[in-house]
Amino acid sequence: MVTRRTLAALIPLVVIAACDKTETPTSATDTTTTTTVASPTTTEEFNGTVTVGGSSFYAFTVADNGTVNVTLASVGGAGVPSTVWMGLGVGAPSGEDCSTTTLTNGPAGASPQVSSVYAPGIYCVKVADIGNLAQTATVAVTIAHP
Amino acid sequence: MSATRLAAVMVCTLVAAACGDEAAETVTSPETVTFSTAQFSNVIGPGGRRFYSFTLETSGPVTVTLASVTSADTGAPLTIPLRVGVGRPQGTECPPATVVTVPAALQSQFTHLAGDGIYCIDVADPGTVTTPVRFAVRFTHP
Amino acid sequence: MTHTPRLFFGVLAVLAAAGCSTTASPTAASSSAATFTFTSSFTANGSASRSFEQLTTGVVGLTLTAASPDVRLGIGLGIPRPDGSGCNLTRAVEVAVGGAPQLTVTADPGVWCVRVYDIGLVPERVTFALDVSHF
Repeated sequence: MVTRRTLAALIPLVVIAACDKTETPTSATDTTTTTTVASPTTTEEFNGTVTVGGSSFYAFTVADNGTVNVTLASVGGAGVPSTVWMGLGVGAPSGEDCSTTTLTNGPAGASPQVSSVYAPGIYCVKVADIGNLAQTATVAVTIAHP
Repeated sequence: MSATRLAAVMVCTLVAAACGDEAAETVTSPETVTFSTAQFSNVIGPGGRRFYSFTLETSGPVTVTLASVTSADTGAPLTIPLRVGVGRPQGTECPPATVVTVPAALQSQFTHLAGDGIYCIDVADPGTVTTPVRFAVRFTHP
Repeated sequence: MTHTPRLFFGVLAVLAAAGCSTTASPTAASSSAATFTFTSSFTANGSASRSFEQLTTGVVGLTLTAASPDVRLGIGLGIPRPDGSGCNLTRAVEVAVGGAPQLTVTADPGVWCVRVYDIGLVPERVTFALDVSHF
């Protein structure tokens, strides 16, 4: 027989137990999650200009989780050395800019300066003057992605 | 059934109803979605266009208002329409999935239903701009 | 123990509601019209602006009720600049002091602004009063 006193004592316990949002630890399972890293299947070429102290960006869509290779293939323009170091970054379009999360400085070259794995989504590549330009530069960037 | 036993039964019923596992609920209350308001303002000349990217944390309606078009020189309000759209950033542009050509107003001019992810507001001259104009677009999104 | 089961129900309901409720209570928006008077002054070629909040969709009305000296002025309605530097206009008219709404625009809920500006007639300085009715 449950007495009223016992019931009164149990009510808060029942309520607390029922309302507790804390996750109960569960035992480990044998489930293994495998994330496939896809190789680049699409190549986009971005030909833009970068003014003195300025930047330019290009948005692209990664369809599958996989490797994105970004190559600053060439820098040119009147009075602009082809070996000039530029800033090259990858990030997400934000406002009127590309908010970069990866950034590297260097000259144009044949090999990817940025290579990383990205989840599906929209990203952007940004090329920026890091203080070396005296004239507006033309830039060519190759983006290979899944 | 005694009053005490009845009380015990109802206690369990009430507790289960109030705090039951969400997965077991048959009736759910609507989720509260917080909407943000943002503004995109800049200047375009004849044939010009600008776009502004933003992130939707959850799917929902993006409501857009071209709230102001003024002379970039004098600040005087203009009645010319501009082309305003919502799309997803692609390359160096924002190809709009939903687009309207409207003059400035203080009432929303269109709504674009979107999933979560990155989107953009695109503002372009539809052929009405003869001198630089300053525009202001207000948009709300989840 | 002298408490009755009725008391248990009351305590339970309070505990359950306090412990489990996650739903925010919606607040009702006002639907009645409001009016304020924007009084300020500016010098030749200048302007003055002020923002206000529209709570529900409705007509916003502007009336220039006073200007000293008595000159025609531009009055307009628009959207505040995000940096707080003024008001980007949506609609505007050039008016003399009058008694009825001289500019009416239907506006959604949100923060909007009014602006009063010189149209080239202010000699040195003008002081004005602009009535703004909104919802």
